[in-house]
Amino acid sequence: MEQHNAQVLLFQQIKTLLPPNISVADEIADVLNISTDSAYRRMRGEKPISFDDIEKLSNRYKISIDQILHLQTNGFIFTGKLGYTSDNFFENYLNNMLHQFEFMRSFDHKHIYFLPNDIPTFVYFQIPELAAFTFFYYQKSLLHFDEMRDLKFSVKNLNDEHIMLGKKVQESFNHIPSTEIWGIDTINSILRHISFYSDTNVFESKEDIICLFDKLEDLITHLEKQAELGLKFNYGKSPDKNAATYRMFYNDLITGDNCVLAEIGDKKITYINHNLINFMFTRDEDFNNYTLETFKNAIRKSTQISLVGEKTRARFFDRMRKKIQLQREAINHNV
Amino acid sequence: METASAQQSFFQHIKGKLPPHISIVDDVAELLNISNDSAYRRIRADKPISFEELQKLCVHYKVSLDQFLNLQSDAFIFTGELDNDINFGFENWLEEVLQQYKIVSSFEKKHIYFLLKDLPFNVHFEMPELAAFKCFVWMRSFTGYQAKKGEKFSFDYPGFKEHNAIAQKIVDVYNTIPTTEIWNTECISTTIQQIEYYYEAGGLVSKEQAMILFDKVEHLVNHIEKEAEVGLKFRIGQQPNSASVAYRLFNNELILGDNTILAELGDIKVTFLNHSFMHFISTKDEAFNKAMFNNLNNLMQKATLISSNDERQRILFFKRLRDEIHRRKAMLK
Repeated sequence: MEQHNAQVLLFQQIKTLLPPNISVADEIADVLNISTDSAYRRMRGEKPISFDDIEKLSNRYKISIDQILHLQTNGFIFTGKLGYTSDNFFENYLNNMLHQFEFMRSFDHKHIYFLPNDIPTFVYFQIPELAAFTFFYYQKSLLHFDEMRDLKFSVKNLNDEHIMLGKKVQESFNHIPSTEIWGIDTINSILRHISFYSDTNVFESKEDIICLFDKLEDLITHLEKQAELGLKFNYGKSPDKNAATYRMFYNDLITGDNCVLAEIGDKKITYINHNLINFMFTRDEDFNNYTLETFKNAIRKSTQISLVGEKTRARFFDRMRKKIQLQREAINHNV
Repeated sequence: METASAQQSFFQHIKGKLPPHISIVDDVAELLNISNDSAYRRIRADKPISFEELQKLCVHYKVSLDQFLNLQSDAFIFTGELDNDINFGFENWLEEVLQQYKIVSSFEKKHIYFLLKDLPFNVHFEMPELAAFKCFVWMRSFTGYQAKKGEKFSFDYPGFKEHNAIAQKIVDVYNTIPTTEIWNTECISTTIQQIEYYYEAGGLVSKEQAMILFDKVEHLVNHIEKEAEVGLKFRIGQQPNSASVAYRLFNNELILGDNTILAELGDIKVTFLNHSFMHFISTKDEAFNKAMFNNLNNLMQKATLISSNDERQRILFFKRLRDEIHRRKAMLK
């Protein structure tokens, strides 16, 4: 490989990481603290970049230099947050999610593949009570914030700012065509959380539990409508002419792992769930191509229930509703 | 890090890899086909090295630039094999699992933590019938796997003997590593669903085979209950002995796990994350592993320890698992 080819390749890769409306030369000039002309010369490979430049660029854009140089490693670079503090959790968590979706939206070609282990968080965001419960669960049981220790949950305590931001995330997601592979157990997580909090007296009142079950049923009905039409739209609304496509598959062989694969332009990004709440992502081409193959493999073993497969779709959503109903009865019996 | 020091550190790093009697200047000069003076200027960072030179140096001295640059802040380097390489088949996957467990086992201080959504994959190897079935399922999840027309499941499929030989080694090594597992009552669902799926999917698993598999799952659950009761790991059908290592089992009623594994090897920690059904990628990133370890500790604090103590909770937990197996088996009938 020629020196300049590798260098040009590095800048080409950076280009794919930027939204289409951003000038790469301006961005590079800014990062390396050089003029736009100097940036162009480096991008064209006319002027070699220094070790310092390589370090700055690889750190800024999380690019694997090993891959650019075709070094033989079996390493993949993942990027993501490790933890949150209680004072900035919502802003950071939701804005980070919004940023990712908005970035995807900026491309002409975009598609998200999803293999959920539980109902995707942002799907809850369109119903305030479910959003509030999700936020509560995250802070109390996943992030273990001290101030949550003795706090009880009530659907009355909604934080408008968080709800608004959550809705923005969901609306952004709804603009991106997606393919999701669900199982009948995808609903288990939230049912388990409600049941556990009911057993441990975390709800302020029985009405809060009833409300959550009602809203969960509403959400399932909404998802069923989306699947029926094969289109994504916001809860309580109808799909408009620009609605993004929604492909839903039912799979009873594979349990999901919350893996997400995003296609943006001619590139891909894989997001892997870790520490239950966090996601890390990679732009590694080999890894992403492999993830796509994995999704294709899973789809081959699944039944499409959006647009087609009315009988299977009706049975699938009915089984979900039955699960909610069973849980509702069990809690009614115990409370 | 400043320009000079980044490049200087790079050459320092290379110097550390050379035997003491080799001159780095001579070596670099020869490799890059430049004079010793030019090599000096590069080593002192008076002259920047080009991309091409960087590549030659990295390849020759086996330096990962990613690791050298220590991609900062919120980036982590994970390693792992993908089966899209034609040379990486199912046997290689089994060998890789064995190799990873052997590395952990070789340390004096060692421990593995599992945060599970399914049964730990290797416990199925305790029983040949379950080993055969799980290998059958996993092979089919390999992206390049081509099922033969009319292929059905067999407890003794071609290749099983070879696979089982490695699987038994995995069990032996696994049983030398003290373990902490965080379960919930849904951990058996995946295996049960897979039996049902292949029974219903054109009878790839016959009814008789499905019944045997259900019985074996129950048998396995009974064995794990015994391990939990004594808090020790041992092979199915045997008794714990003085060499048996600790087994801690937690029931977490709130959270569904994700099959994450954290291994302690001496003072080092390694996290293995599950992806694409049966593959794992691992990292030695300290910050990542510290966060993972803290998270697991938090989860254990909120969970119920059902090994060694709390007999009532343990009995209840395993009864629920058996009830579920019986219920699903009855549905099959």
